[in-house]
Amino acid sequence: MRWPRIALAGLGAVATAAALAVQPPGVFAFTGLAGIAAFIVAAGCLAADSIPFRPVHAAAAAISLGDAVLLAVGGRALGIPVLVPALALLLLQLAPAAHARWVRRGTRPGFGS
Amino acid sequence: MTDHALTPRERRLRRGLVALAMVCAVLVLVVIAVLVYWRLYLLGPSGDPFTRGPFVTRLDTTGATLAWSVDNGRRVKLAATGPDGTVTATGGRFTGLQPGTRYLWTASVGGIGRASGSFRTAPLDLRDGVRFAVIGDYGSGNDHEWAVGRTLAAERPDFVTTAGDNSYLVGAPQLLDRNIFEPLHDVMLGAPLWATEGEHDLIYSGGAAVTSALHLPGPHGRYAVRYGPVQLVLLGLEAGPEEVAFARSALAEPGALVRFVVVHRPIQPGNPILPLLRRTHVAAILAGHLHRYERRTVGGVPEFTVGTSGEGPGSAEFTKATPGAAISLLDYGSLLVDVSSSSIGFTFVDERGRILDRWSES
Repeated sequence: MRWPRIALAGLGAVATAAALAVQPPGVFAFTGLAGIAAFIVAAGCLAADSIPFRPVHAAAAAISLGDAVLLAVGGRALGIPVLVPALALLLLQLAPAAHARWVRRGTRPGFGS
Repeated sequence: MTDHALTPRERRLRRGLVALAMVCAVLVLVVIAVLVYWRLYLLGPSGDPFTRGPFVTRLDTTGATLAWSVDNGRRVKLAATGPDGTVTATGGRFTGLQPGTRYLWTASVGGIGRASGSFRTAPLDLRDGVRFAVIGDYGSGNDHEWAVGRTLAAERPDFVTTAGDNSYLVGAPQLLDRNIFEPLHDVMLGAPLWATEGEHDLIYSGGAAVTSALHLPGPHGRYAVRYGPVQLVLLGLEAGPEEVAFARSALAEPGALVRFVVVHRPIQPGNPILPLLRRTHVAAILAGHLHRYERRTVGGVPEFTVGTSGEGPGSAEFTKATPGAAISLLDYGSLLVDVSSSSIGFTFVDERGRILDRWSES
């Protein structure tokens, strides 16, 4: 796992914790800042996953980019529960590792036979 | 392929790409932040949908009428609030109002209040008094007219009457916003403009454009209006035989406690209308035409010439003081008339808000 993805996971965890612990509108201060930071880091993460190109990682980073926008403004402007994009940001960073593990298990000799 | 498989050059390229992507993301956010700030805090409100007005055209003891022009014929809703609650207008007309009461009106377009003003309905008597303003020879759209318009708005008259020459050089429809509706916008939010017409109005289609735009009750600036106990008889260009006959009929109408005659050209001694004005106890003649402010008595009737409300005095050769005038000034201004149950006060206020002449009659 590279540092941008670790940073994104950290932001997702902070935002998730804030969404659970702080009521609106106070939570929007946390999710707004976390969303802005996540947008910047996700852009870097997407670039990092392009060389070498890793499709699953890059897709997770691209989706994180959009999710960061939702996290920043979705709660206040669109009325989306902030827990949804916050938790999604956290899970998206775990998805490439989970996918890799699943692939490794699938290629193990005798698996599925 | 893992990081370890990258050459040092590819690693440097990737680090550079990551940094560039993050800088780009920051720039995107900065641009969005600027746009949002501009949209929310720097961009002004959407434009005024009204191309003219709204302005008050009629006021009586229990009703008021407003007129306007609006972009694309958009729907306008009018509401007026007074001590007895809020009433809505039908076709620009408020009904069922209380006499002598000030109402705040608001015109909404698309659910947003776009214009507001206040008017006072005509009282039944003179206990609380009536205040109106007189201007004349004003419609030039210059700085002086705007200055006079500002002092008028501050004085909050119940209505304004004009002694003609409402638009220079002619009373053409294309000139009326510049010459009448814009300089007098603020005062017209609360006071109807009851105008007679002078040469410059009448030269264009007999004054029809001014009559139509101001929703005047009669053509050529000849009609009579009442504001509760006060009657105005407006004669038009001059007091000729037709106008004398009209005045005889209008001044015979019962009910008014105080009457004024408004005419463009000052009435001169010996005019056959003067005995009628004396007999019907006309309080004063209000005239224009001469680009001066003058106060004098003609045939026993006080006459005020208010010809400096916007257009300049012009050549001194053609703007001579009238012999016998008690006062004759070239200063720009308007005349304020305060009618009470015991007296009538006349105050000439110049464009800088200074009182230059004051006179009263019992």
